[in-house]
Amino acid sequence: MKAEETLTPGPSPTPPAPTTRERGKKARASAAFVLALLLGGLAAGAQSNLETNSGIHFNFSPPGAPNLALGGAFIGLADDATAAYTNPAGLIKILHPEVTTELRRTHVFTDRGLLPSDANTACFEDRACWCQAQHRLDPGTSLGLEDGSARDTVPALSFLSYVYPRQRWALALYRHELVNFEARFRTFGPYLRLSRSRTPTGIPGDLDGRLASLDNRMRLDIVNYGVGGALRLGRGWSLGLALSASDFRLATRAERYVPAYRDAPDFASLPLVNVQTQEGDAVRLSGTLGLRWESSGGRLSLGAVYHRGPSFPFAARSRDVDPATALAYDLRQQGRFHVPDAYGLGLGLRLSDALRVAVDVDRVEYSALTRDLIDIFGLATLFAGRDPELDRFHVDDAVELHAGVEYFFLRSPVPVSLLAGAWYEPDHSLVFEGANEGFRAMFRPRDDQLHGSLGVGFSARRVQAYVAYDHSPRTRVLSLSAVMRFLDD
Amino acid sequence: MRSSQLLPGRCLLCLLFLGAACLPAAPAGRPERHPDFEVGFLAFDDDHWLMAAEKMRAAEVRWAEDGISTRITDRWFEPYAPTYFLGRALAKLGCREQALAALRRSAICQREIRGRGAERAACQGLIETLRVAPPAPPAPGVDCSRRGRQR
Repeated sequence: MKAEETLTPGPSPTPPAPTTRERGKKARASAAFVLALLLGGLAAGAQSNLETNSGIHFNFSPPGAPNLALGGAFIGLADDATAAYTNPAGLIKILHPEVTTELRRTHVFTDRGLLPSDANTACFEDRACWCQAQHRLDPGTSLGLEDGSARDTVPALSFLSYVYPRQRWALALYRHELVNFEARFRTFGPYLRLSRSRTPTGIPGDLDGRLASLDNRMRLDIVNYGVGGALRLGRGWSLGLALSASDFRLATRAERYVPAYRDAPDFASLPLVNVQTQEGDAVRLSGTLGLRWESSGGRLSLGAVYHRGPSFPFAARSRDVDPATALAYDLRQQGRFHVPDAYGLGLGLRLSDALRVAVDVDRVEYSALTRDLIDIFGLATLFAGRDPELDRFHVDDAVELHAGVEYFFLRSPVPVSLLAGAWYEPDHSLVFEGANEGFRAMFRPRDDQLHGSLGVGFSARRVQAYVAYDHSPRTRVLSLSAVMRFLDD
Repeated sequence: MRSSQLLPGRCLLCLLFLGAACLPAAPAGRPERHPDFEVGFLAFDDDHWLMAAEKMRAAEVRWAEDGISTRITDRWFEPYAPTYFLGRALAKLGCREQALAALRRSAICQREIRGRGAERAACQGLIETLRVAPPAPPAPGVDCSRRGRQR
């Protein structure tokens, strides 16, 4: 959907109602979805150029603590109830009805713009630094902007499923949190060039010497409520399909303050200059198509999967709240938030009863996030035709490698397993490469991440329990999962 | 990517993988896998008693019952007890004498194996049940004297 833009001075208008054509599109969306899924239709994608969006964390790693501990390599194995999301074709491997639950606690290290301390730098107590030397923004040098360590913790019930297997087919109901992201972070207004002035609006500009001080709040939830099924095709092949209603809730608020050029911001006393908000609440369909093959002895298994990401509408708003400025604007737009599509291949190898390994290769189409990106600030409108350079934002698609190994201590009366894994997560930050140095500072590339993971658990006759930990420089995930199966005897 | 930042993590992970790979895959002398038992157990689970009996016979010939956990699917395990399951399958088929013979020679039934108390109790209970049960003909089409596949 193209962004619809209105510039309204004074009181706020009501949001535009959907047109008849849009309502028609909604009505046809459900019917078209399965066809689009099977044909692998193209995904559109958009967010906005609001700085708050730069740190959104998607959870594409497979649910279940043991699978997290395997470095997320589970497409090829896909032999437990979490396959309902990861690769539904694997549901056919389940013998008895099962209930699976998982709790995850995720720490995401979001970013703040700050300057490192050196001989020419004096830092405020809270690590916002005042640089006395003139230097250019250059992320490749030690004087460039660096990521801070604002930390957000999100404990949540991340996965819940029930699987009902039969001999030739299996059915699953599940709830999976694709995104559970909450951030509250403040930027202190990093300095770009000391020789320059700053804009009174606080909106990043071409000639800013210092960016505005921001107070950001963000809450993003995408929860899938799905039904999955698998069918045994014979000769070791199985096919799976999962359809889910994705519940999307977005609420962000960025408040902009402009302290005196050399001062630290005092958010309690400074006048608020302007506010940007993004709000969305919608339910859309999404789905997963999976295929799995297993050798006759069960020694080798291969899997392929395609996740179709949903697309959600949201309302973006930027408004002036400072009576001292001459710019009285209230800009409202409609945008779309697109969850990237993802697809992958996996291999599982059972070396013995006690030892198995798994390797996955996934491709996540993060580039969809920049399609039809909206300019939440309305730069072209506010500043007499200034180019918002939306075409200079980009996100690279990511090819992720996952690998893991699992060892079972079989002599124990209740088998215990140890798991270890690693996965490589290329940077998929929203990056700006245009002339506007303010945007370049906020939307900049980060390092690729190498995750390491460990886990341990036990399997009794009717119950499994596992704990796992995944570590990377930007995220820490602690996961607890339990499975209960229902036996006849 | 700054490779220097990732180096410690890479080294740690390599060590973990190497350590895991060096662990013994199974107790000494024991087969790495028990495919006959696995197939037999799945057949047992699906109430396919003839197939279960055939595969359990093959499994106990390959490796005697030891009660150690064997993976069936996913992360679910069963004690390696082909003789015990053979006895249970034969009992379902109505082959009382053969079932009693299998259960009586089952290691899991005859001696204490750590963590297998429930199976031992069940086995002994089944022996007692079969012992006092009145004689009955086997299921239709079942020849209890045959050791191979029966149709």
